[in-house]
Parts: sequence; C-alpha cells; structure tokens
Amino acid sequence: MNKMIEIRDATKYFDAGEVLKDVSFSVNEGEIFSVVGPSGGGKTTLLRCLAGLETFSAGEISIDGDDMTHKKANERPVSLVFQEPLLFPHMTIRENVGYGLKFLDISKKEKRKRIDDFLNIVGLPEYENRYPRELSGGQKQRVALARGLILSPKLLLLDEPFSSLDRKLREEMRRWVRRLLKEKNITAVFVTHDQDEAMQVGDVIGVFREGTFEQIGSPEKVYESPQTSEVARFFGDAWVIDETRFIPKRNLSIERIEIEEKVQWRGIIEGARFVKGYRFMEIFLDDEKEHIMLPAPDDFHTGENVYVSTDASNIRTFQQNREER
Amino acid sequence: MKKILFWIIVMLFIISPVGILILQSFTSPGSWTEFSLYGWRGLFETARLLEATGTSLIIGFFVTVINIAVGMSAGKALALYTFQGKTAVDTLFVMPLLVPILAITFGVHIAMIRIGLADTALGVILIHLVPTAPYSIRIFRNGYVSLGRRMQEQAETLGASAGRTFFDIELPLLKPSVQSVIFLTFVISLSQYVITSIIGGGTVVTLAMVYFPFLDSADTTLIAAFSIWFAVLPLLFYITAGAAFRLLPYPRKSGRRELF
Amino acid sequence: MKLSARIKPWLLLTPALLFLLLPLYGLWSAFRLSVYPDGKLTGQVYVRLFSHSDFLLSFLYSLWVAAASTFLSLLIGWFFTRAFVPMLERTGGRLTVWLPMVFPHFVWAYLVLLLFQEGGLVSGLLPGNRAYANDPEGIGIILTYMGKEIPFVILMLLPVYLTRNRLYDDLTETLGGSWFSKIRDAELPFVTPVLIETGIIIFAFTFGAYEVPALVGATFPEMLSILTFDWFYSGDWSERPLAFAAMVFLTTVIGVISLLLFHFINKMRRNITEGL
Ligand SMILES: Nc1ncnc2c1ncn2[C@@H]1O[C@H](COP(=O)(O)OP(=O)(O)OP(=O)(O)O)[C@@H](O)[C@H]1O
Ligand SMILES: [Mg+2]
Repeated sequence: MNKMIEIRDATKYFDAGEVLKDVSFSVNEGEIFSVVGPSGGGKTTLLRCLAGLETFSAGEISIDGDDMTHKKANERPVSLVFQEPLLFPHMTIRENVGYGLKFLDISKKEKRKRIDDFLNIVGLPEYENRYPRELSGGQKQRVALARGLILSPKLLLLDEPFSSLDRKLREEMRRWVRRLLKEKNITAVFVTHDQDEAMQVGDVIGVFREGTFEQIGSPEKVYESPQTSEVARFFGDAWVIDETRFIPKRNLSIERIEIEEKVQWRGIIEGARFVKGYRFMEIFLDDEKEHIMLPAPDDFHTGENVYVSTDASNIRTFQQNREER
Repeated sequence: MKKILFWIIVMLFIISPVGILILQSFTSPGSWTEFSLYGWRGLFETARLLEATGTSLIIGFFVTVINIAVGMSAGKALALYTFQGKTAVDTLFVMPLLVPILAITFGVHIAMIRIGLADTALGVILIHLVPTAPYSIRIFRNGYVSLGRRMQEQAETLGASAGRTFFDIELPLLKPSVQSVIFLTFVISLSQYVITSIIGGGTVVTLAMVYFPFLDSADTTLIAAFSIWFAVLPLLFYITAGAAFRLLPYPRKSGRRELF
Repeated sequence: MKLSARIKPWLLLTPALLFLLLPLYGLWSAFRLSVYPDGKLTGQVYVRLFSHSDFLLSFLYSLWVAAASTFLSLLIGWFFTRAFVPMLERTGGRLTVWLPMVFPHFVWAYLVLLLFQEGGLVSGLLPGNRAYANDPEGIGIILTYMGKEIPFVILMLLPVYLTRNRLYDDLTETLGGSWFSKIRDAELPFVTPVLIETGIIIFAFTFGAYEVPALVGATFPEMLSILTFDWFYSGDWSERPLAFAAMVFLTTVIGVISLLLFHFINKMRRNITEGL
C-alpha cells in the first residue's frame, strides 16, 4: 500500500531537553494511526511538528512521497484539529468551515457547494449563520472537524479532539469520526490518552512514551502481546508480574483453595467494584504488595482470603514477544 | 441602595461638573437658562481654532498609527515569546512614564533643533510618543496574552499566510485593544501643552496651544464650548477609526458590541 | 529555523526599542548639559541648584502635592472600585466613571478654577468663603489631579476585581476570617501590585507635570515644573543648566523610589504565583 506519511529519525529539543527521540513511523493511505500514551510524553509536540507549527531538530518527514521537512504549516497538505475546537469567534459557522478554502484555487461555486456538503455531513446546516458561542461543545468540535476536512488534506491530525466532551458524546463522536474518515478515505494520526478510544478509532496503534514509540501494531497485537512492561501496564488489561513476565487478565481466576498444579498468588478481597454492568473484585496481593482488579462471581465477599490462579502455560514474557516480531 | 449611592457620587463629582460646562456652552453669557449658540458660534468663528483642530487631528492620527505599530509588535513579543531579558525589557517600557516629561523634552530640544525637527509637526509627533507608547505596549501585551497563539496557529494549518492570519484573525480579535489604544493615545496627544509648545516652538499650533491663552479671556461661555470640544474630538476620532474596522475581511456582522 | 525563532521576538521589539532611544537620549542629554554647562565637567550647577532657596522650597512643595494627590487618588479610587464592582461591571457605569479621562488635564484644571476660585461656583458655598484654586497649599492642584486620576486608578484596578477569583473570599470566610483578614489575605495580595504600579505612574506624573500648576497653582510657592520651565526660558540662558540639573535630580528621586517599589512588587508577584 501507498505510504502517505513517513517520518525518519525525528528528534525534537526544547530548551528544557529532548522531547522526541529518534521517532520513525509511517502511515498508509486511508489508515488511521492512533497514538496513545501517558501525559507529557510528547504527543502534542509530535503532532505540531507534523503540522509544521514546530520544526524537528533533526530527522525527515515526507507526505505522499514529497519531502516536507522544511515546509511551513500553511504549505503542508495537513489539517490539525486541536483539543479545543478553536473556532474563530468573529466568523459565522459557515465562514469558519469555509476558511481554508479561501486559499485554494477553486471556483466560488465549487466552494459554496463544498461548504454546504460539509455542513450537512456534520449535521449543522441550519447553524450556518450562527456564531460559535451559540453552539454546544460537541457541535463546535464537529465544526472544527469539518473545517479541517473540507480541504481534503492528505493527512489529518487530531489531538485529543474529544477530551473536552462528556463520556456519552465522546463515544458517539468516536464512531462518527471513524466512519467519516473511512468514507472519505482520509489518512489520519489520532492522539489520545485513552486506550479504549485508541483501539476503537485506530487501524494501527502506537504506544508513545517519553518521546518515542514503545510499540506499533494492530490494536489486537498491542493488546494481546505487549512488547514491554510499560505497554502492558499502560493498557492495564494484563497483569505485569515483573519486568519480563505478564499474564493476560482473562487467564486469571479467583480460587478459595490452593491448587497443586496451578500457579497461585495469595491475596485478600478489599472490595467490590462495578464496571459496565460487571462485578469486579479488588484484591490485594500479600507478597506482591499490589492491587489487582478481576471479575468475580457473586459469592465472593469483601474480606475473604483468596488465591489468584493461572496455569503456568499462560505466563508470557515480553522478551518472547519481541523475538516473535 | 449601593446603586443609588454610586449614582449620587457620580452625579456630584463627574456628571455635574461636566454638565456645568455643557450648560454654560449652550447658554448666553451670564445666564444659566437662556439658550444660546453664542459660545459655539464664537468658537467656530475663531479661525485659529479650526486650523488648530486640523493640526491636532493630523498629529493625533500619526501618533496613533505609530502607537499601534509599535505597541502591537512589542506587545506580541512580550506576550507570546520567551526570551532572555524579558522582564528587563518589560520594565524598561514603563520608564518613559516615570521620567518627568520636561526632563526628556528639555534634553531632546537641542538635538531637535540641530537635526531640524524643532518647530515641525514631525518633532511634535515624536515627542507625543513618549507619554503614549508605554500605555499602548501594555494594552497590546495584555490583549495578546488573552488571545494566545492557538487561533493563529489554527489559521496557519488551514493554509493562511502570516499576513492573512494577521488580517483575518489577529486584528479582528484584538479589536478591543486597538480601540483602547486609539482612544487613549488620541486623548493624551490632544492634552499635551507644554511639550508641544517647547518642541513646536509656537509654529505648530495644536488645540492646546490655543486653549491656554484663551483662559485669560473672561468669556466663560466660549471657554466652556472650547472645553467640550476637547471631549468631542476624541469621540469623533474614535468612531471614525471604528468604522475602519469594517474594511477588514471579517467584519463581525452581529453579536455583542464591545466598547473598551 | 532555530535561529530565526530566537531572533523573532527581537525583531518585533525593534520599533519599541528604537522609540525608547528618544526618552533615553533626552535624559542623557539633559544630564550631560547639567554637568558640562560650558564644555567642561563640573558639579558646579548642582552646587548652585541645592543652594537655591527657591529650588528647595519648590521641590518640597511639589513633593507634598504629588504625594497627597497620589495617596488620595489611590485610596479613594480603591475604595470606590471595591465598593461598586457591580455597577462598574456595567458598561454605562464604567463609561460614566471614566468620563473625566476624555478631558485633558488643563480642562479639568479650568473646571476647578471655575468652581473653586475666588467667587467661584462652589467656593461661595464653602465655609470661610475661601478660594481653593491658586492657593498656596496647592489644594486646587490636588483637586484637579484627583478628578483626573481617580478614574485612572479605577481603570487599572477594575480588571483585578473582575477577574479575581472570588473563591478566595469564600475560603477566608469559611476559615473564620474577619472582614479585615478578608481584605488582607484575599484581596491585598492581588491589589497591591497594581496599586503600587499605578501609584508610581501618578506620582511621577504629578511631580513633574506642568499644565495643571500653570493654571491652578499659586504664584508662590511654585511647583518645580513651573520653576524649571522659567529657568529653561530665562532670557539670557544663564539658568538653563539649572533647569537641566533640577530635572535630572527629580528623575533620580523618582527613579530611586520606583526602583524600590518595583522590587517590592516583583517579590510580591513571585509570592503570589508561586503560592498558587
Ligand atoms: N514550547 C515548548 N517549550 C518547551 N517545552 C515544551 C514545549 N512544548 C512542550 N514542551 C514539553 O515537552 C514535553 C511534551 O509535551 P507534550 O505537550 O508534547 O506532551 P503530550 O504527550 O501531548 O501530553 P498531554 O497528554 O498531557 O497532552 C513536556 O514535558 C512539555 O513540558
Ligand atoms: Mg497533548
């Protein structure tokens, strides 16, 4: 497949230190690349460099085969949608959506048609003459997306675009955005710090920590076979035994008794939690001095001593994963 | 209750003094009730007044334009960039307000004579920058601080050049700051008597230069009209300048109006 | 690219820095002319200045007028602002209060003259039937400055009160703070820097301004600005160096005072921002 964007050995220094360290990756045409990682890791900086708002200290970037390393932001075929919608408050919704078209060499009629199209796509045609302050947060973010997408950018960058929305709306927007991007076959880099969101929206996931990718792969691959303990810990659905070994949580069970042929850790149930309709137990492991949350049948109760158990074959090592690849 | 107290105070100390001037300007001399345009007619029949109004407007215009240019660029640097010596520069820009203006004017006077700026409007414009530019720099700095840089960046990623970003985004969103600067600068420029008289040397006759000798006449009606004229001019100037904003690519069609 | 990012702010600052040359040159030139009155370095002018009885009297008189005007403007402006925030929040109230700023100082001086001079509209109503314009105590000058500067104080302070986090009030109240400690702990830390800064500007201005004392000042004693202006335009130019020296001295006094106060503000600002 055609590589739409390619980054080679990108490095970025600020006065305070190195924020991006030898970052290399590529995204294929029409693919959505989710970048997920803890706060302060450098995700926003990476996007700003891709957009041309900052320059890499070293490294190269090419888009659709053209070298973009020294191009300014307004010369790159890239749109960036920030965390806040940043609609221009003195322009109507229509003017906002059509703003980028002013710099393209197309006819007035064509411009008008495209704006109408996109107002329809984001479902806000009747708002065209309103001002941004009259819109809700979700509506504003949709306008911001339309404003970026209307330029048919070769690359769309999204920096936590839903983080200022409430949970329900966020879920809705994820599905909507993914469908839209797929429909228009748009290549996108989507930054988030929410692992669910990353997996739901992205075709490929990159786990970004401390200025570099820990692992890049399909959502399933990253989820099932984390390459490092950090990736496993970040996704939170595997129990990291130590720096080399982990067990997927679904392979763990809770037992009341010791079982000879299983590997077991002793612990005490500290409380029950309910997540999306399922009952979980928070267990404190005595020897590891660590909490773990596991689904549990109803007849387990707070205060009980239990054993967290698994078959030895379920224990995987990060090293092993690495070699597989 | 508080509201009443507020308006009583405002009435006593602000509205009534100004009201007295207005009243005096529209009544015949020696009377408080008899309506008359004697004061205003007299004012506009003073040939020097109209000429001086023109001079003041021209000088005020250039002082304002320079203030906007200087204040905007410096305010932007102070608000949106980090650089060494920022605090020092920031403090330095207040300095002209703290040095007695006579000290500065005495000092530059001889140099102005030498390079031929004394007794010229340009010399007066330059010296009027001293009591105005520090305010403009601060106003724009605060404006840029609250504007931030994200809006401009957003425009840039949509393909706008630096110039387009300035006219489409920055200028309209900084409109309140620009308006404050226009108003304040013009008022201050209009109020300068002594420095105008030293640098202008009696050749550059602004309104203030006409007003001072006027006060020796006992014609209170005429003086009242003249005094009011000083407040009318900035308002006219302000409104005209506000109209210029309509020329921008995105004049706001509706929405809340900001005055300051 | 990296280099241009460093140069950019300085490019933007260039016009303003060029502008600064004007007051800096003026000040330096005034200083030079005060120590090189006849082409050679001498402190003679300053010796003459300080032994001049008119000068000392004018200096102290100006100090009194400037200090009184500044103090009263700050105090009244502050009380007025904090008492009437809700009315000042509305455009109408705000613009009315700022109305005096539209008028030049000399127009306000004329108003004081009109109202308070002998036989003026207000002075007739006051006990003792005395004039408060052209008076030797400088009350006329102080009144004029108050009329113009109180709105200015309000202009500077209002944003502080409009944006200040009112949670601090509630916080000190829930912590059992009294009315006094509410002002001291929740208000003063934010207001003081602005008050001081505004105060310095007003003080420096009233200390050296010419227009107002020229209209409502007494013939004796004279404000420093009037005295130096006369020296500057004295017929035979023999007293010009005195004018330069007096202004340099005045600048030094204001400079020292403001340096101390700015130092104090910066310390205070740091405490606030670090404490948040
Ligand atoms: N303009 C800048 N100058 C100096 N340091 C910066 C600048 N921008 C970002 N940094 C630093 O770079 C690091 C990465 O910041 P960045 O905003 O890219 O992280 P992030 O992964 O987007 O975090 P978050 O998830 O919280 O948005 C941080 O330590 C930040 O302080
Ligand atoms: Mg970020």
